[in-house]
Amino acid sequence: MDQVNKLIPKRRFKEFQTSEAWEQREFGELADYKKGPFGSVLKKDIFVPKSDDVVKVYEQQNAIKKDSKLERYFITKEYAKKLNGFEVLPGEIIISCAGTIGEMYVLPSSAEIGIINQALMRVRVNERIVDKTLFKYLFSNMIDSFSRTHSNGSAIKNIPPFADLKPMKVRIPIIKEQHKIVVLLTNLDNLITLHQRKLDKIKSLKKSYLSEMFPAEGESVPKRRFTGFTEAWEQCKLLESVDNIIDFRGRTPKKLGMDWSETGYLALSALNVKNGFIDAEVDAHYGDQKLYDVWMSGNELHQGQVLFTTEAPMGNVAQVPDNKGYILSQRTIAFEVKKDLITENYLAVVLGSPKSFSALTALSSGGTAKGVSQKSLSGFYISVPRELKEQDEIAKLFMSLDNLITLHQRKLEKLQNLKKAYLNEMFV
Amino acid sequence: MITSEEIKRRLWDGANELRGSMDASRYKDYMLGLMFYKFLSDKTLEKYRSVDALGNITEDELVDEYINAKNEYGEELEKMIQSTLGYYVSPEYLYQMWLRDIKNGDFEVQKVIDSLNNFERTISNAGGGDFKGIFSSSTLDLTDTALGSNLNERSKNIQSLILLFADLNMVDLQKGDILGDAYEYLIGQFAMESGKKAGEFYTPHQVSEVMAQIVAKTQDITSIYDPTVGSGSLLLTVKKHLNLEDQRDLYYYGQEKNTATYNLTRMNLLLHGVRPEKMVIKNADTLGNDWPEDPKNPNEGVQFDAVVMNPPYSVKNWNKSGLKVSDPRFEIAGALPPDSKGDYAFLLHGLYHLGTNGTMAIVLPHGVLFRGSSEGEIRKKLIEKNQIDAIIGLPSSLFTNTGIPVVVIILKKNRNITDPILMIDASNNFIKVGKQNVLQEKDIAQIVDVYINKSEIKGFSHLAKREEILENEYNMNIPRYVESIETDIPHDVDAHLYGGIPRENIKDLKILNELVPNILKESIKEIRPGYIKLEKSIDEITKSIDNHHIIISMSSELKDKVKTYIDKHYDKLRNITGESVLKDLEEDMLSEVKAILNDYEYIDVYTAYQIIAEIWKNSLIRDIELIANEGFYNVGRQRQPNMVTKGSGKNKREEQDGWTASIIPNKLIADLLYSDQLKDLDSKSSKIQEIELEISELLEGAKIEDSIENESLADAIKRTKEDELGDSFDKKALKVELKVADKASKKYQLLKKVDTLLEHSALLSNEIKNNEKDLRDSVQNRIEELTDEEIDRLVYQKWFGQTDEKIVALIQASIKKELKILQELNDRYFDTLDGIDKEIGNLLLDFEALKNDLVVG
Repeated sequence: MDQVNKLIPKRRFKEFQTSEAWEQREFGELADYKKGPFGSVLKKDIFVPKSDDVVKVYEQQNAIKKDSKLERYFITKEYAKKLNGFEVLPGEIIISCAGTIGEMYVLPSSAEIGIINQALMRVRVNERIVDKTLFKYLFSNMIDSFSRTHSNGSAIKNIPPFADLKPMKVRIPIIKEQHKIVVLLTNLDNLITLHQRKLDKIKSLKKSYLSEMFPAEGESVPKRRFTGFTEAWEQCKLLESVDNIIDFRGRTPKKLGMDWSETGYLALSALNVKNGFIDAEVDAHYGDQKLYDVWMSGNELHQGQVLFTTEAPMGNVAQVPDNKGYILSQRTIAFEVKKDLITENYLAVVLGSPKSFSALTALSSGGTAKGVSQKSLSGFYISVPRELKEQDEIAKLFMSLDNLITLHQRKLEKLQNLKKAYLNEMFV
Repeated sequence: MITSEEIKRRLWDGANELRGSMDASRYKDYMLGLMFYKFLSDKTLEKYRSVDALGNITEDELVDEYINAKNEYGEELEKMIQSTLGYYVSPEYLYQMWLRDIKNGDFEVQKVIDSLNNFERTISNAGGGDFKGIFSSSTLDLTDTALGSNLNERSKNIQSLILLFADLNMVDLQKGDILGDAYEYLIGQFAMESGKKAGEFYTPHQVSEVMAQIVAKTQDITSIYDPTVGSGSLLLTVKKHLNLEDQRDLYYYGQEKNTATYNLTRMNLLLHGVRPEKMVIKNADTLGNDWPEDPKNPNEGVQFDAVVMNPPYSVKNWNKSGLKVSDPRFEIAGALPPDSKGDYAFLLHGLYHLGTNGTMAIVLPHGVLFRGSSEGEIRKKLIEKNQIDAIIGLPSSLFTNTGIPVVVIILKKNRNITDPILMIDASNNFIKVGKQNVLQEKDIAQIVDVYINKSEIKGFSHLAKREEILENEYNMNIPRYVESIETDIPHDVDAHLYGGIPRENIKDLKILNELVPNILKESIKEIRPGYIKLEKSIDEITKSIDNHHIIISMSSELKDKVKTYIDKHYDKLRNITGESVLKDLEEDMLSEVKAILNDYEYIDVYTAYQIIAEIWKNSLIRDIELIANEGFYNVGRQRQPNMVTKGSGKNKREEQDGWTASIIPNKLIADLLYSDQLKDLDSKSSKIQEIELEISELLEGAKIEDSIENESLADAIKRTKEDELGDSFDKKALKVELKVADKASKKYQLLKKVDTLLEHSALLSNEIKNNEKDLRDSVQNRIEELTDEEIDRLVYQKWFGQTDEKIVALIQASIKKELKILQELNDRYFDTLDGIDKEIGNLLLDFEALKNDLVVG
């Protein structure tokens, strides 16, 4: 009995604290399992086109993509009658069992009644013993540990045979406690989905602001504006709103008779400048003090300065994150703005807008690998509000949206990790 | 009667088999050269047949007669042939003599070499210039070790090549252009196999089509010139699009630098029935020396009604002969193209030879549209003189050996100074076939239509005025003029924040608004000014649209129209004869389908066009060729041996496996005329499946330990490698088990059941096999006994079985497209930020409660 006493989870709901330990069962007791019929029974020549007199054949993809609507093959109702042993109903679980194994999906109530094919397993959970949702967690834990012990490095390719699967041991609490656990896990799942949706929504919202906060084609003012600003906007040439473009086209350490170093000043090539941030992970190069001095002297980049990639990829815009000093490398240029005409924060926003991107695309040369030259930039116009204050407001809005997006990204990750922690602590 | 498709396949397969490891670009010279020699021999024999009025004697007899006649009349006879053909082949040098030698086992390569060499001497001086050097040993060296390392091997290889053409009567094949098509096809196939050489690319057929149709459809042409003629395919594609009279009167000029290719050009044109006196092909460097010069006005170039060219792209150091700007060809541009890029040099050469009312079409890489310095200058001059008529951007990866996207530039000298330049962006109109992008028939048709009508279509074409071009500083890059269509509908702030779909977006659903405004109105509800929400699900809306009387009557009306259209053409197609111009039939049918669909603003005309174009490509071109020659019902009842390749390596051989009908697929005959038998077969095979199912259930049952099936059947089941129970029964073991089992036991019953099932299934399979064979035989015998009425029904089914449905379905397709947009909008704005936050708030409260309820044990 001692052994049994240990078999309670680390974290448990208060009301069940004094309940009995989790009971040992076999998977064979928890549900009825049925694998799809042999391939020869569902051959290509049996399939018929979709009509009212057919029954759908469920496939791996339904389980993997978690979508009951995907459909490719149908059989006649008449033939399906003969296959009724392989029928699957809404509410039942289908599990992929060849190749990508262990993907589980509960057919929703809207799903059609169908026949499972060879690569699927149908599970009818004995809901008097185990909660259906909990069963999914238990089953997937089992498959994980089975593959850990049975694989030789690579993932296993088949679901364990019934002879192995059914006697496998599993511990479960009483049904009431199961339900409670499921409530928590479902709650977390929903929270994660909702946060994903919220993240997507904020991203769309940013897009919608980008389309409404700048004048549309042929308009002189944008659809949406901060209060207190009434003056018309201007279309000005990008090159006329900057004093200088810093462009070290073709400059490499080799040409300066030097070499990259292990550490030091990060070189910003077009690969490191993403839309809105600097990515030091991809193909990062560093220059030592000497290289930095020779390369950048007189052109040092300052915090907030706008960076732009001219090709491969063309059109990424970011701002220099701090005053640590950076080397301006391949296919990246930086602008020195005319401070009385345009703010750096605003330039970054307007350059990164979809409208600018399509204008730049039209000006660019090349088929798949697009690129803009300084010459073609001369025909590039941006929309600018006259007042620097309005520019600031606009820039602030987009910065706050960007921050919101990052924060929600982090929150989403946090929730996902939290769920993992619960799964770990709430099961035996 | 052999069709061009069959010849193509046979020759190309033969070529691949014989070629061994030889480079395609080398092998083609031998193959195409010998094929041409067969043509010359056949021509000579036919001429002799008519000269001596020999009528219908066999080829063998004809050859004998020719030998005798030569002995009797000597050179007189040959002179006579030469005077009409421009050449002759002496009896001892006939291709047919080589075949006799092969048959008798005394073939010698030397004899082939002698024959080819001798041909040069038999060419008449007048008008025979086109045959000079056509078999010169520099391109057709039969002693080359690439053909085999020793004489014996070479001899064997050359013999098999000679045998490949043995039974093709080139004179017959030349009628109806079968020979020319096959030859052209081989050139194209060989080109695809060869690697790229110095920027020279075989022009893909679809690109030639675009150029040829534009050139041929816009004016009368009496002379045409290709300064970088290659195999001559551009010239011939233009020819194909002219009427027969114009074809006959057309003068062909071409120049080619590569001698081997130059020989191919001449053979290709001659095989396509171009009269020798109508063609002038020269072997020289087009840029180095201007050609052709006007004989009446020395130092002036001949001008042509049409110039077509696909020059090598961006040739480096093209100016080896040190040409100056003062060269009359470059004068118009006032600048010399850069040494590193020869593109404009070719363009200017072609333009120089273009007549005042002529049309020029040239393929070049995109760079010519926007590169600067002297090329920019040239472009500026051409635009100022307003000689660029249209620029057509094509998709990348059209060529087999380069991925670069190209443009077709159309030039004309008689444009009004105010005429805009038509810019067409066809770069997104293609389908993928493997790695290759391919223009479909509808894409070509759309380009040509837009060119002819000078129409502006958003996202596809634009008429660029002088001012626009100036604004862009003479940069002609297509995206500057043709705006790409925004595929993403702009996001709306209020809709995201407060929900609802912007009414603006609903207004943009043109088809729904105009066709079924009421349904649309009923399905939406305004939730605040400018924003609506869907009251019905998309599925419901789809259903009401499908059932709406407008859609139903529109569909049935269109169906009737298509049916009348098909019936009309079906009748024409059945009744074609040798005199019908097949090309015109196809064009009529294609332009008529466009006319029908043009009444339906919302249907994509070109998708329907493609449906008809594909019927031509897949069936009609081949079928009506046969019908024209032999008559509809005769061909309908014709069958030929079904040859299949069996074995591999040395044992590879062709064997007859039954018969196939000439134009009606055997399967169609079975489907339509033997449906009862097919049904019976179906029910038998589904019975087998039932049995298999039962067996598989027993097998599965047996895999469960301690089950009665397991105990009874385990020993009768085959084992896997791991010694586990497999997926089938072992019949031998089953019999053994049956013998020893106690007849009263459950075990015996189960074993017996399996045994009966297996036997029954074997019996059924056997029956099916026999029935299938019977059906196959019946169908094959039926072919020759089909009634006229049956042939009508079957052929109609084959050609146009689903055509009306496919075209009517286009109505639904365009509606679906908009419904999909509606669905997307609905999904996009379904959530609001506040709504999500509220839900999150609730969930977090629940979570809070649950979390506090948990204790760490």
